[in-house]
Amino acid sequence: MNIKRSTGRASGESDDVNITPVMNLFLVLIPFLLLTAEFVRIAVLELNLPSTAQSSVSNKKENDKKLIIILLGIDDKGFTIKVPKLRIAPIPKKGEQFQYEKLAAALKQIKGRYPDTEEITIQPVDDISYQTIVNVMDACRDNGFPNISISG
Amino acid sequence: MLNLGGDKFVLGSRRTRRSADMRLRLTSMIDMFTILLVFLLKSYSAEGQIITVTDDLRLPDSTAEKPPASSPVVIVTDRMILLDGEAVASIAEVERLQKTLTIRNLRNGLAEKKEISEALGRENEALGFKGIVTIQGDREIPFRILKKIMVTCGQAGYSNILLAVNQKE
Repeated sequence: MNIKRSTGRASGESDDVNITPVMNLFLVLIPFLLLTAEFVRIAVLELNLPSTAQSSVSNKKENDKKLIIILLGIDDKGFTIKVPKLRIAPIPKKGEQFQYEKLAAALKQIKGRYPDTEEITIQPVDDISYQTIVNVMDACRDNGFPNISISG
Repeated sequence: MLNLGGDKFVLGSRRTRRSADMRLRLTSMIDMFTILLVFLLKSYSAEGQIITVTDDLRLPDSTAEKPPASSPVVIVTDRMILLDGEAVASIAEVERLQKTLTIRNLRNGLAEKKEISEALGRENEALGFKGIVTIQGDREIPFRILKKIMVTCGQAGYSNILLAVNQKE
């Protein structure tokens, strides 16, 4: 201890870290990164067109014989879901709002019945807004149906 | 974090009366800079922006995480439909033709793009036609417009549709 102290004093008063190079680095890096930063992040949602995906459909038929078609209708009253051998009650709007939580619960129920199915077809009516369709697609993706098609 | 100064300050303040040896204390500034640097480095993407969005276009919010791919872009605002920045049709015109599902100008434009990328694909396989198209639509546009655009893209051979969305946290 004594030796260390004595050498520290021997080199003068400036025994702390020289931070000038660090500051120089920061002053260059921070403006550069601030200029190139993106604060609005854009992602994409993938969508399959049902009519033109003939090759993939034939592949799927080879893989699993039972093609289960799940139809999710959106209209100005709410959601209606059609699944073979399963009765799902329609999910009405609550006031002006669609009930996405109930939709998620229903999709989970379907996923429990058909765990291997990943395809779902969304059928909106003409007046449904783009944001609603995207919200429904999110609900489908989050509950195990990543292959989404849209039919008019 | 770095603790420079600190207890030194007491010594320094005593010394200031005798000499003008006052040191600038940078500790808090370096703390701030380090946090800022880490945050900016984390959000840094080397690819740059593939998709730029105009101010009057409000994309829908989504939890999707897939990054955008470079492809022809169909922009749908509340007034116009644009293909790669060029206006191809107006919404009013599309609304008027209720029965027809195809937007003719858009289909022709997409067919042209397909020809170009197929010609490029003959020169270099990496640039070939992949049938990807990105749709940037305003969150308020109704499905009847979207449906026509999707049908048109499908007819032009672009069956792989990507919908651009704002990424939610």
